[in-house]
Amino acid sequence: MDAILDNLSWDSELAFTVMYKISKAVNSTLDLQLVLDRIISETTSHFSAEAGSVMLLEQDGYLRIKAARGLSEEIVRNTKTALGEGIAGWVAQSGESLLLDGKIQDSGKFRNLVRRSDEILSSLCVPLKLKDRVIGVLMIRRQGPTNFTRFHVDLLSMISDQIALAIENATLFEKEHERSEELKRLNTELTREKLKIETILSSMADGVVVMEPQGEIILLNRAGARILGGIPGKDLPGDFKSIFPEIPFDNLRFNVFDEKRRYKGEFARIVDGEENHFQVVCSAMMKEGKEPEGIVMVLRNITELKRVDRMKTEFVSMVSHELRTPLTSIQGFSELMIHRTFTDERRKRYLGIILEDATRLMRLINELLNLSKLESGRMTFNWEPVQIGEMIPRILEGFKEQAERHHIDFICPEEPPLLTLDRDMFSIVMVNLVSNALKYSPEGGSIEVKVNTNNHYVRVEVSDQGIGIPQDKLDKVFDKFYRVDSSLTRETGGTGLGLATVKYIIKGFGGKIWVESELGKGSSFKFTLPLEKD
Amino acid sequence: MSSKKILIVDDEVHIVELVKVCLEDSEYDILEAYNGEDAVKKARMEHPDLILLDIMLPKMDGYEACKILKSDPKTRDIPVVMLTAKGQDVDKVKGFQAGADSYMTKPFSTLRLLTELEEKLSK
Repeated sequence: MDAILDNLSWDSELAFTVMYKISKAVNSTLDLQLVLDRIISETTSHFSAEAGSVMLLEQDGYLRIKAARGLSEEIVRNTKTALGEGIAGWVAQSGESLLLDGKIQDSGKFRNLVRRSDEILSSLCVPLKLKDRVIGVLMIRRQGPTNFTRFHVDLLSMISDQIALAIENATLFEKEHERSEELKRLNTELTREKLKIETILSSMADGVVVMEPQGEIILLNRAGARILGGIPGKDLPGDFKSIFPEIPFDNLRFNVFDEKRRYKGEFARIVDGEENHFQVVCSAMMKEGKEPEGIVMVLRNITELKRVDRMKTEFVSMVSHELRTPLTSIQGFSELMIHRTFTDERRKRYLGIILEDATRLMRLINELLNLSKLESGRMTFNWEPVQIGEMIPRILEGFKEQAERHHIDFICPEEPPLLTLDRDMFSIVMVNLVSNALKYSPEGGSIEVKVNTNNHYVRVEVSDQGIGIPQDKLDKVFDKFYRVDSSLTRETGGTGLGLATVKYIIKGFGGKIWVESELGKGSSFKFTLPLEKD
Repeated sequence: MSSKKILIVDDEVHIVELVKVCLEDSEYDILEAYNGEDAVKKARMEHPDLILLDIMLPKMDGYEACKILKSDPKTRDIPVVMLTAKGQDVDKVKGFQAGADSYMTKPFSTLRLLTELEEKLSK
């Protein structure tokens, strides 16, 4: 296409060919940078220019180079031209093409510029316009032996509209593309956010119910559905008032919308045949902080909390009762002995009672402390190897005097395995079980202590032929202060904590304890001790 | 005039003995019961002038025994003084609901017990 170089006058055929080629090249893509690069490569090659640049007018009112050839990187990067400044600035401002010919030494206001850059022989700059709006300039420079002519000016001016349009199209397309990418990104973000909230909601132990201001339920999480006795994921159950008849809806609305405070309430309902207690906390959702948009309700099952609380209260009340009873006789007898005169014999008897009840108080306090340590896992066991085949008979020796009417049998394999236990704790277990066996077989009979063993554990049984335990009370005997019949324990001064203590010690040993019994025939307490301590 | 009869109901032998020693100068006739069932039986049979009733009792608790006595025309006029280690307000309310005439908590002052009994008996 060097032919163009030599054309000094208008050549329609050539002009058409060049226009067609450039137009086709720049319009065949919508990639803005590619369009700009093609503008430069096509025009410089067809116009035999050594250098060229496309400058676009940016938002801040400056022209910047967007594509170039024959210019240093630094110039491309740093050039920033104001309107009216230099060749490009003048063209952009005036909207007219400019041809600078190095030979024409008196080319008006650009003379200095041309002179300064001696090697530039010829420079051609055309505005890029969309209708009347200048969006940038296209400049080509030639250093060859011949200068640009009027022909080149006219041709490039004619092509410039096509070029401007191609730039505009690519710019619009790019913006559109950016917008759709942004939308896509926002959409992904929203989906991720939604998933996050859904995960949080469904993994919450508390029920979450979201409803319209009038009470129509629009969201119910998994726990909420379960609490309501429904199946998670099934249809929303509808209207608040019909689902929560226990909660005064008008009162709730008044609180959250009019008074702008949280509504708190409690209600009980039968779920799966059992009474459950629920706590609700409701807050308003406001549209832009003004209009009621909905109500969020958090629903918590507090049945277990209530049960634990009641047990605690009962326990405290029981402890108080158990402490007050011996204290009553200590205080009463001391008071009487201060105010009245008794014979030596009676004084001795009352002091005996005081001592006995003081001892009972002391034992009760010790056992309570022990039990509380065992229950909370704060008890430290002194683990050591124990040969129960030798230890149990020594413990039974201690019962000889008490067991006048009984005879105690000990049945044990020749060499029972060595166990890792706390000696004192094991002793507490055996003493409690054997003294219970004695206590609850007032008619006498035999008490059998039997040791069995297999590969995994050792089993110890303590059986009596006493009064037995009713079937419905079997699991209760291990409860604190539980007594099947208190008349017997009171006489022997039991604390009501023995079996509870035993249960926790066996648990601490890693074993299990249970009782089998028949009314009038006797009871058998059995516990296991693992062979391997983990 | 024959001396007044008092029925002491408590499963704690030491407490029964304490109350007996407490009252021995006052020339009351003392009856004893160690459980709720026995208390109702003795009250019906002996018709005491006053009943000192513990709450935590074997076989039948004090509330139950009191309700039975207070719903029986033959025993409903006998004053019942609850003498118990259950000292919380709810326990007292339950005691009065069961028909008790007065409520004393353990530990008690022996002097106050005497005053209380004399007051109830003089009515």
